[in-house]
Amino acid sequence: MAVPDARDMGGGPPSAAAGEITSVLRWDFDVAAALKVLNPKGYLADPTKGGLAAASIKWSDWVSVGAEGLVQAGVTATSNSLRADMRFYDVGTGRQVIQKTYEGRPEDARAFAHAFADEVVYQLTGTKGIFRTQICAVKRTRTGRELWVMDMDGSNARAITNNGSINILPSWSRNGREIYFTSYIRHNPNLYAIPVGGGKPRLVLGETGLNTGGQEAPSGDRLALTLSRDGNSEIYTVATNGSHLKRLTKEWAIDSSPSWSPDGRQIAFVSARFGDPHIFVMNADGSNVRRVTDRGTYNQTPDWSPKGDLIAFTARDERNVFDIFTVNPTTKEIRRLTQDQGNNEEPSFSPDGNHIVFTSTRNGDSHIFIMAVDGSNPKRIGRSGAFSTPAWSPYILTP
Amino acid sequence: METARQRQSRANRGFIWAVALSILVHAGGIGGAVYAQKYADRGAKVVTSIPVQLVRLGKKRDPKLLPRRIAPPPAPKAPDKTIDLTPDDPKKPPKKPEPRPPERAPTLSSAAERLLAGQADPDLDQAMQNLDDPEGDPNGDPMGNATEAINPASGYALEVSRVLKANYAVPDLIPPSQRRFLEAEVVLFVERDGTISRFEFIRRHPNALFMGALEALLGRIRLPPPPPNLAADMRDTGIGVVFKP
Repeated sequence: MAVPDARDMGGGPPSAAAGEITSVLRWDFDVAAALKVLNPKGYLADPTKGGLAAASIKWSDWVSVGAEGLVQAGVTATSNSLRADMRFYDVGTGRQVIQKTYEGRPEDARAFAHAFADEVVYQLTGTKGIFRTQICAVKRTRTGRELWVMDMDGSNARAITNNGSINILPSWSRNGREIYFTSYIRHNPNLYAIPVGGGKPRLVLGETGLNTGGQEAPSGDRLALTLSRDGNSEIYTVATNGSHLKRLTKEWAIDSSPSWSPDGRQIAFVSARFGDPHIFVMNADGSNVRRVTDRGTYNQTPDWSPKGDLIAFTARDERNVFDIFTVNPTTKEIRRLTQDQGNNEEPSFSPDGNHIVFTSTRNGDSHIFIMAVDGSNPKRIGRSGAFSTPAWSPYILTP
Repeated sequence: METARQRQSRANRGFIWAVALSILVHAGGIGGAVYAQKYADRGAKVVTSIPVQLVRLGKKRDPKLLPRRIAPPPAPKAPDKTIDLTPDDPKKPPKKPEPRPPERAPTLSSAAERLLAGQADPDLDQAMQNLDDPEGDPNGDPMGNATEAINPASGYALEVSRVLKANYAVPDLIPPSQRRFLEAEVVLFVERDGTISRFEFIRRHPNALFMGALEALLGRIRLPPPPPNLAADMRDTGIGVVFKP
């Protein structure tokens, strides 16, 4: 994939918006992994010459550098408006595959580029692009821990709670409009829901003891969560309005961290019923419990892939280092995704199931990274602050 | 008396016989060679390539332990920005020293040094525990690897190598499988301000893309100024660099 610099169609030097569109497009295609972005230093074509149309492109320049796809972007920017014309060409045939024109404000440049990258990824892979999705994570502050939401590339980060208390374990509602989380704002760790744009949290459940790890079922009508109301952590389900509480596990040991299968028929969870914490799976009604990890001694934080084929989890290895692994719940095959780069924890799948967001201490403090589902192409997102428990949103359709 | 015509006729017959004999000998030789080749092919063994891989011997990994990755972790990427080579402004206040790196777990070497110096070393046990226990397979494990011995350059040559490497982008058309074989040796003639006045390749690589990109880089890059005591040598006799991207 070749992504030359976006041009300023007014004829002047590239504007800030053009530069932003170029950098976002390159980053997105680089993350998409399957679409390798060729190094712009090797391009033969002069980015200042020619137009966006197929007739004005010297195809031999792009064939020579090995490009199979070409993205051309032109920007017309004023102080309060932005128009971006983007095109995707198949270099082999010289055929224009996609043409989109976006109009809006100058600050929409990133959103336009993400939207176009989504179009290209869908065209090439048949899978919806993830570039307009978001990530919610917990940021450590001086007074506690607050929820932050950011675009999947780490931009537009903003706090959605600001109560000075400890707010932890965010989880997105299936429609992407609310985030469930546990907060100590009333001293007991209760379960709340808050709109993604921020606002007043809604109390979902306030049972005595822990009310943690609420995760909405794919049907959107109930949550699985961990409660310790009976003295020991167990898995329950509850309607999204806090009614119809139902206990699923009953063990002397801790059961926690439920994660729904994409069809809503099963729940993965952590249990220490055999001594060490391991990943287990049960039917959604609590029946048919079976253990899926039999390696390692400390496996936790399962997240079931939207594709259904893998459960990502954190495990502590024999060197006392935490890393990310996946297990196939059917074959029980375990694969290691991270290794020898600090502690890597708390995986959460992207809605296409092809990427994972996680925290890593490879650069010192705990930062947010994303990587491909095979552990390749790790990229840090966001810049400042110490984050934990990132949660990747479902697809969020923005205009 | 034999006439001249008869002598001539006998000489012609002798010549014809000689030519015929020569043809027979040559034909026999060629036929023999072809037959011998055919015979030799029939008896020759088929030569096949034997795929080999580096293996690591050692004890089997405990199946109860979590798996290790076969592929090594991704290498850190080169910095996006080129290295700033502008000399420090003497008017500017000196840069603050880099913060001290955090304390690391004791290594065997540091512990051993103290032990050899006759000091009591409580960290030695910890260092021994930190040592990797090589794991593999008695018959060889595909996780096997080897480290490349690197000749450490020093001083200005090291700095030149570092700057070239940081500013060089391998052309995308060169497949990753070929990149580790790219290497060229060049003598750089460097002016006092770091400008490369000319360069001569001692050893070129046959990959034209790699060489083209390297030549382009040498044509535009400015190196750190050489130390004053080396400036004359750098300008007149140059500095040899083995470049591997």
